[in-house]
Amino acid sequence: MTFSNVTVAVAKGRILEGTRALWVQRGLTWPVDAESRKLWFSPNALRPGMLIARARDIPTLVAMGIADLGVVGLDVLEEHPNSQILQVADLKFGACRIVLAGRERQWPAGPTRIATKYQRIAQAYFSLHHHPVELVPLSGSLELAPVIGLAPYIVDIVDTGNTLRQHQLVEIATVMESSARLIANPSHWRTKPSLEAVRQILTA
Amino acid sequence: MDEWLKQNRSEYELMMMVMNQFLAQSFYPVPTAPAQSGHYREDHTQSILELLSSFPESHLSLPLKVFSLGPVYDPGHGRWAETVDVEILGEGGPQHEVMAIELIMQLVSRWPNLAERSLMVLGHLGLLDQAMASESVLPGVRQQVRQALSSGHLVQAESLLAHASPKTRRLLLPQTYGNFVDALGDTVPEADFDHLSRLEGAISRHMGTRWDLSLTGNWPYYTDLVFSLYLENIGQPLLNGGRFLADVQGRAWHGVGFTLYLDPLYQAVQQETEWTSHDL
Repeated sequence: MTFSNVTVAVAKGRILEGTRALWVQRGLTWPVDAESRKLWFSPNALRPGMLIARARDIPTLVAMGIADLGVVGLDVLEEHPNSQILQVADLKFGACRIVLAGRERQWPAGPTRIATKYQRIAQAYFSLHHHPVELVPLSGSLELAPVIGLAPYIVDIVDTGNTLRQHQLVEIATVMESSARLIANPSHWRTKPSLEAVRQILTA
Repeated sequence: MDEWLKQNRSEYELMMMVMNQFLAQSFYPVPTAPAQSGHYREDHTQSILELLSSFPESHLSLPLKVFSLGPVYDPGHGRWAETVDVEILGEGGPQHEVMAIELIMQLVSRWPNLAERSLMVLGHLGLLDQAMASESVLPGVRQQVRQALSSGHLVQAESLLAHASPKTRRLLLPQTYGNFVDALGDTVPEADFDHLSRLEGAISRHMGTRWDLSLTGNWPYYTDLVFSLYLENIGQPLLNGGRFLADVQGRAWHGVGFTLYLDPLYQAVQQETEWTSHDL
């Protein structure tokens, strides 16, 4: 099995850590040195190449064929859909949830303002529940929104729930569950012989 | 600047060569607008069919071979791609599928090294549906599987087909024609293997193939054969196409069509020219 012309793009953060565990479990040499700030590791005989990038750039890198494969959370794929990639496997790590949270465990009464960085996911969720909402786009520190009076509710990603508790917020509903997904460039997935080994691992 | 001008010239010469090939094969050009009703054109087919539907049905003589030239908008990348869209309209069905494939092979064979580096991937929505029906997958679930595949959610499709036999699920992976018909023979023994063999034969004389029922095409109007032509190590398709049934202004249009992307074709032809000059 050779990966010498395969490149994988991996999202920074928790996904990168989970990928490391899976990578090592498969007996491949992990290219990333803990001290290094390098973001690009060319492929060699012992392992595929690796690109480390921001999560929402991973689908673009794969769709454009710069990377053959990518590892990124389902939440990112749902929020920034890209019709030019294939989701080929649920890698079963990096599990987290996107939740509706507020100061009381109570579904919003009537039209409601909600702060979120997941506008698309939140809009789809509340449309499904026929509940009118005004979405306030924020890119971070969402827990502050109810505290400072910007919005009584937030839709945000949670892992352990500690951050919510620290801000006296409680979960009201799970909007979606997410985990790391292996994505592929459709052209390379269907035609590149070196990806045959990956397909076999996934179907085994 | 000279280099840039020369490159533009080469691209237009290639485009003219492609145009001339279709004109020589009795295709009629149909000019379509790049934007309509405030939307950018993402596909020529709908625009071509809308124009043709404005004529009385009695004026139409089928089969009708048409093409349209111009950019289509790709909202995924937020950019325009220069394309040629080719349609063989009429109820020829399988016969038109073979005709479209042969037309593509004639075009690509103009550059022998290009054909050698290309791979045609074929899917089939009719066979996909038959394979799922043979596993007693309910019609509603079949529709969900098709939607999942057309948006690239192979994980979701696999999960919806979790109870299907491994042979049927294997049809959703790219494989050689031989392996594909082996698996298909067990799942859909009533499939038209003679027709599949004709298609395979028409292509394999020029380039390799992969058969993969997870390929369902980009558009909801596809009904049967769908195909994508890929070039070795280029992460974009050279062309996409398939057989369709589209309802436009109350008229049902049957046909087989494909969209040729000129940028990757130009890159590939340029590479071939460079290699040939090295060989000399």
